[in-house]
Amino acid sequence: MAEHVNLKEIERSVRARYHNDGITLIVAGLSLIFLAVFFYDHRQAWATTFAVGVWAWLAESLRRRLIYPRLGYAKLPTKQNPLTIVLAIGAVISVFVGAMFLERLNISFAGPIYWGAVLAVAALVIAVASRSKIACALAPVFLLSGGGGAMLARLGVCCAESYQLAALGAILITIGSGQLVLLRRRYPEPASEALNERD
Amino acid sequence: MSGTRDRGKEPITDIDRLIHEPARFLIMAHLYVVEAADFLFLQRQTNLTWGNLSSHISKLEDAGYVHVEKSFKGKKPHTMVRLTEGGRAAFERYRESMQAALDNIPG
Repeated sequence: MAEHVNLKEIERSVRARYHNDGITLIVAGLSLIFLAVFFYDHRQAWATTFAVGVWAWLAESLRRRLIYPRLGYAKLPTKQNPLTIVLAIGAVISVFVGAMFLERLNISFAGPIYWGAVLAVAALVIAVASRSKIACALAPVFLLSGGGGAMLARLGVCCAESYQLAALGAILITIGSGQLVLLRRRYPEPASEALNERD
Repeated sequence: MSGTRDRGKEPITDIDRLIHEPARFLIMAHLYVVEAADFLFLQRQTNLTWGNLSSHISKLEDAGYVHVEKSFKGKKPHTMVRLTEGGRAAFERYRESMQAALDNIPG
């Protein structure tokens, strides 16, 4: 039996168990690939970003099918700080205003560096907030992808940002799938006899 | 528990023995940090067997500390457990009592 008696530690472990199930990374990767495909159509990009509800629904559906039958389900208390929500919306709007400003400057290699930096900062914020080692490791990868994208742009490759975001999306999906496979091996679905035994 | 006694001098016999049992303490601690959880979640988190967990949950339910909601998801039974207001208050009292009792031990 676990010997944890620290309630904050218990809460952290409960949240971490769901955050490290691979679903979050897979959905984040899919959203990056979707963003990459429609990168040059601003309306689509905005729609993708603000369709957070769709991504949240997809993540919850995947969890219901793949995770809850193995890990069980716990309804976590929602801590919705209005200031955090306002700050998050403000940050997303600032990111897109910055992207549009950069596009007007017409510097080909600035876009990839900008997106790499934005994603790296986002990963660092997540790493600090949730003490996620994976998010911490991904931050430099995002930052380096900016350099890679800038090199592509300098070489004259069209839509360098799209390649950069698609590559990052593929990396996230690969890592997420690995996490998901490990979790499914570690926690097999309980036999139906056991499910009936408790009742 | 008497409110007139000094907090640090409460006798250790005042500690809620129902919660004091390690397995039940773990169950209560997990239910304290979530709004509700199903049986499988509690089993994964506490590493108790189904039978053991079921028996401890029944004791907590009889004491009015947890509310058990049974339903079916498709053809599979699904049991959700949540702390009642009384259970939450009892757990908070238990924490205070234990803290006071441990603080009183000369070290």
